[in-house]
Amino acid sequence: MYTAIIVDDEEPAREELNTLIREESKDIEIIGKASNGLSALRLIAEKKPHMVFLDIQMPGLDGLEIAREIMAMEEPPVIIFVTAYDEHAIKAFELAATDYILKPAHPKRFKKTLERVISLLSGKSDRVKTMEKLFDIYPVGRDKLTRIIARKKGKENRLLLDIKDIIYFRSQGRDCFLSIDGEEMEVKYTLKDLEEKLSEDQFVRCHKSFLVNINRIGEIVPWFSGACILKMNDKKKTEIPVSRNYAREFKDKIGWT
Amino acid sequence: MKLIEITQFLIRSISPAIMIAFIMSHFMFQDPMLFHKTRIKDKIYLILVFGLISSMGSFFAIYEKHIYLDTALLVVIVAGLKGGVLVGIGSGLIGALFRIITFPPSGKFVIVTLIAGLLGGIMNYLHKSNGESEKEISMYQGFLVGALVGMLQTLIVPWAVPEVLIRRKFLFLISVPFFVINGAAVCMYLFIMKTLEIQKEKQKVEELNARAQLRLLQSQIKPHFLFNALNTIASFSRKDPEKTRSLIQNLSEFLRVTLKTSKSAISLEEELENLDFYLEIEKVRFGEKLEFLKEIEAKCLSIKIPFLSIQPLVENAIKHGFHYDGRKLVITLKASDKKGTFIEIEDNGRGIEPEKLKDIMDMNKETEGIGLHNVIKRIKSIYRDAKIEVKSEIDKGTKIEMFLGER
Repeated sequence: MYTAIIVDDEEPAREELNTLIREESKDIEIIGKASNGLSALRLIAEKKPHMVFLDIQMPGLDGLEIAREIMAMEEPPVIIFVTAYDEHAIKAFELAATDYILKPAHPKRFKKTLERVISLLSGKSDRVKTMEKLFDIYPVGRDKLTRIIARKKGKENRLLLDIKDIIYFRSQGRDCFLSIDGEEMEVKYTLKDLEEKLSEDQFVRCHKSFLVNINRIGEIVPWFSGACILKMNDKKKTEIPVSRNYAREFKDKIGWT
Repeated sequence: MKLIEITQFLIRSISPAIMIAFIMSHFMFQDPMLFHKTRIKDKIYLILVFGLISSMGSFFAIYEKHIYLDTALLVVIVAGLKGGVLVGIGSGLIGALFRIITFPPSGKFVIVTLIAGLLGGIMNYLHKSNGESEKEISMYQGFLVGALVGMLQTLIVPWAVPEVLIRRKFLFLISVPFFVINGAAVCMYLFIMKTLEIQKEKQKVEELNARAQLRLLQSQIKPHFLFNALNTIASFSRKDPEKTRSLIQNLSEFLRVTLKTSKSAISLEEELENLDFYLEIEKVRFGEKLEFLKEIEAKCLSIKIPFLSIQPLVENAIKHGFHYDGRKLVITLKASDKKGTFIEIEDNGRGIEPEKLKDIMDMNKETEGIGLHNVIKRIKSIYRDAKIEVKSEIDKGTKIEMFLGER
């Protein structure tokens, strides 16, 4: 027996999927349902299902943002995306060979997908690869990010933070952190993704490892050969370097000549 | 008078006629297909208009020492070339009549006017019977007729004005520029007609495109909404046949109204009815998370608004309004009469970031807010002075205010 969780913001849609799964597969048991991204993440962390049926259009966090967080878990479940209609996302799913279901689902297609998903359950590395490919092809939803999921260091709980309160993003090796109220938290993006997904009027790259919130820069201290240091407007008065490589672009964007 | 002076004079004398022909043709021949129509009504219209242009041509003609280029002739030749024998002779008659009344001494030249129309018409006939009716009369054919009429005109001088003793040699001398310039003038007028036709045709195509695009935008049913509605129906069909039927009925009505494009303006009452069909589906989809309130003054119900101008705005509020945490979304629609109709759509939703709102309101940007632009454009096509404003605050909601003003 395999366990599954359904995530959709519309109650009738959750119901329909629930019934369909019951009808088409005797091997899958629905152990929970969630109506938004954050509660879905909590539920998945708690119940550790084999698979998640994830609607991609939900208010606030879209399914792909949630998928990123899911894939960062220790034992990520198989993700099956669900959508009524989204040309761009479907194209990306096709390219990355990710499993997806269209609403309303036709039993024939649905059954095929379920069989495929069950066959995938054993091969974790393939799944991770597929998802990485998907994030590569389709790194951003259509909208710019206004909120972001982050996790305090060493804790399981995830928080939904308002982008405008974030002082900077910093990368370190393969990890990425944000800073808010003088505290760093982990996020599941690369700086490159974030640069694309955040409004460029708000966040500017100033260093290989830093993306800063323009509105939170307190002071700019010139350094040598074009580089400078930013004193941020936060509790710790954090200092962030502007490297020579990024200096020109950075100065252009903040209108400093 | 030397040959060169005569040539200069002739060229000068055709300028006003060409100008008049251009301006009048521009206003009078709106339909590029006019010359291909065979109804007697259209022929009469052509005769009258060419007759008028021809009369104007002779009215502004420049005379000097009995040498003049009869600019009225050009118009009559073109009338014949474009409209056939009937139109040629008909407009020639009008032109000739006008000539006799305004300038009796040139009486005998009138015969040339009629022949000009006839020759133009014959050329048109030959052209058509040659199986080339698809093709326009060519410049070459125009030049030929023009030159022929010019020759006729010089030949007729000794008969028409015997009191002026003109040496045959001089007559022969002036005949050459006369042919050439007469022919060229006909070509010029044909060229103007062609340019005007191309321009009118282009305008017409653009107009048709714009109308088709508008129709497309109007009837744009979002596939996302459609499939979600169908999914909701699939879900309810398992346990609630009553609700299922009502969902199908509402969806059908909404689709019917949305696909129907015959009327561009409807009453507010009709638009609200259509909105209700749509909302019934959304209410089932989102259950208690969605609430819709209406405050409509009764006397506003009869005002005319563009078809589908409120529903897309409510759809936007639903699509982008829901909060992250599943709080209830309340949408309020108000219509009141304050020396003009005032419509307001307010929600307590997620709100729009200021910079995004700026993008949405930027009518030049196509990517954002195409639905809103479309509504604004259509409202302004009925209410020219309509004022539409969007106010939004993050986490508090969005308000769209429309003051329609005088129709």
